[in-house]
Amino acid sequence: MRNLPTRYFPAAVVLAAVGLTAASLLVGGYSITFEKLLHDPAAQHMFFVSRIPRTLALIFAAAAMSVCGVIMQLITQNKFVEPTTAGTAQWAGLGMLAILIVDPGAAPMAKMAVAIAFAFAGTWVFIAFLNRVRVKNSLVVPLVGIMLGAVVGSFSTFLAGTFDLLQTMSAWRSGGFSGIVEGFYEPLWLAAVVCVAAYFVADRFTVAGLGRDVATNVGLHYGRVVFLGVTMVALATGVTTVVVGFIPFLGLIVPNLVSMILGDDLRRNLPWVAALGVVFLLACDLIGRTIIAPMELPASVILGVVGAVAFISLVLRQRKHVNA
Amino acid sequence: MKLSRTSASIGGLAAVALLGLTACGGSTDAAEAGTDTPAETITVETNNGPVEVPADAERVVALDNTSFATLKALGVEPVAAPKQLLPNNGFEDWRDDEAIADVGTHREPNLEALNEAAPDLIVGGYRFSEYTDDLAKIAPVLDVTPDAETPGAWLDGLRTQTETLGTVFGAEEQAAEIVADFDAAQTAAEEATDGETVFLANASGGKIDNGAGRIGRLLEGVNLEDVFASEDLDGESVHNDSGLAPETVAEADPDWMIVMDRDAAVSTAEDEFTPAQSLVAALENVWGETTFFAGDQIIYLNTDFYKTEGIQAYTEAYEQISEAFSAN
Repeated sequence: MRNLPTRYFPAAVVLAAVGLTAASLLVGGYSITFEKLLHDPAAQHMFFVSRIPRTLALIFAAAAMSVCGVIMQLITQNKFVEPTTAGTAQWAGLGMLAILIVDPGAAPMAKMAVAIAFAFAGTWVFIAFLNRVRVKNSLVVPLVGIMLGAVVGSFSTFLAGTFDLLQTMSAWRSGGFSGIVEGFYEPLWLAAVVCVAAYFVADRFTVAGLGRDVATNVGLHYGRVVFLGVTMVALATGVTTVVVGFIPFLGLIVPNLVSMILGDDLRRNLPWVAALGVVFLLACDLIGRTIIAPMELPASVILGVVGAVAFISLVLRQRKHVNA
Repeated sequence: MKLSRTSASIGGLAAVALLGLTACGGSTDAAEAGTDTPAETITVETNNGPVEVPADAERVVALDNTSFATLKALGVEPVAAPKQLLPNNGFEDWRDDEAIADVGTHREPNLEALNEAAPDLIVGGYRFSEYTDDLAKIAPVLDVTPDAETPGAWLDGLRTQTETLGTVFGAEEQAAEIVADFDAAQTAAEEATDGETVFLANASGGKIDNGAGRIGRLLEGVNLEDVFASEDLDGESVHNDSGLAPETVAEADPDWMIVMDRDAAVSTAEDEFTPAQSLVAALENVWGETTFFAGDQIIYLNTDFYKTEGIQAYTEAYEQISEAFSAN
């Protein structure tokens, strides 16, 4: 039985990803049909300035957050760590807020640079904290991350309240793709580049995932690999947070599902992690797009519901193996 | 605009508890500030029924941002106000005046500071409406904010609010003038408009979303139709302010667009920071062919609108509307 999902999983994921991508390109507020796509210049124009950017944004953001999840899970050797449970995204949000307060008119690139810097620093805070925690069982690590994230998040809320930016914060924090059109999504190409780069260094992360001692024994410069991983995660998370907001749980559910089915070889898994992430996020966004049309619910809201259930079932599943 | 108010309520409770303590102690600031002879009072109709207020209120706390401009026009200078809620422009004197206590915001009100100001009248309601009972223990609370919940009640509420404030502060004539200006602007806007469709937008957090939940009241006084009104999203729908993709607006192709610039209202930037304009400009590729964009039929409400919303704000908005429509 164990072989069955392993055999059909890749085909199923590819099929779902292709189908959902097509759906994402064809579903929306502007009426675009196959017929119109061939003959109607207005529909063609809208297809290129709205549908394609939004679909690409969804694909890039989903792949980036899923891949970041795997990288962080290997670096910390913990299955429950990903950018939103390690505080990385919250730090990026704090960075975004900081620039909103200091220089609200700043260029998007400047906002992104600040968010990336904050995400980078925040991830190191998390890792430094972990190095000082003795009990590293699988639940303590994410709890530390969630706790740090909550502290940073509360501080952001306090700052936002002080500077009267609460609504601005929540509008942007809720992670929606509804406003994504040409001119808004382009920074996400950087996140896509990070995903591709991750593929080429995947083996190193796999080895690092065996722990500092083993990794050093087989000749890996452990510190450098961790630094590289943190940098990649900060880049992808910073960009994604600024462009679309928080995307919770994706980096948690997807890598775990994939390694349950395919095992732990990162280089082999990475494309499937990215693809499954895309399937999840596209599905959530399509649900959000249709249930209250013509208005939209942010994909992250749907994802939050799905993710919370998945998180709890993962914890319950893990409990069998861990004596916490 | 639903907000978490737990912390605020706790703060409120604590302040009330403190009040109780000072009352037990005997000596209060209010007693020292008041005169020995009981002041004359008048009874006015408020949102919470008839309330007795002093006829010559001198120490006034201004909490309801829809009435700031009217109070100012009637010559009232408050002893305390939520300084963060004061509009960015035109209220520098209140904000910088050390003698006017800052009572925080509705999310975290500083009721102690309010109590120390020893008011004899509190103009409350709207964002502060949930504190009315607590505040009434300090001084009579005058809540004459227009009814934001009942469809169609806002405009009449603005008139009543202004007239009542005129009566309370003995400035009926000024109040009547304000109402007359408003009526004139509204009538002109009503005549200038002819059933065109309009998209009501809110620019917040760098996104343009549906703003009908907040500025839909504008349409009560003019002959315009919300382009998304037929989508079964009435005033009570929780989805009224949910996300809206730019392409959805393009499909609806409204004749006009009215934008409330929330980003600008809360911006602390000193320079010419116009978030809504730049947001709209960035959408040219998507909206280029629509009627409102191609014809430049976009009205940006005063950047303070989010913090004013009073009769003067609506007067200005109607003036903007009639001017824009007459020009086209």
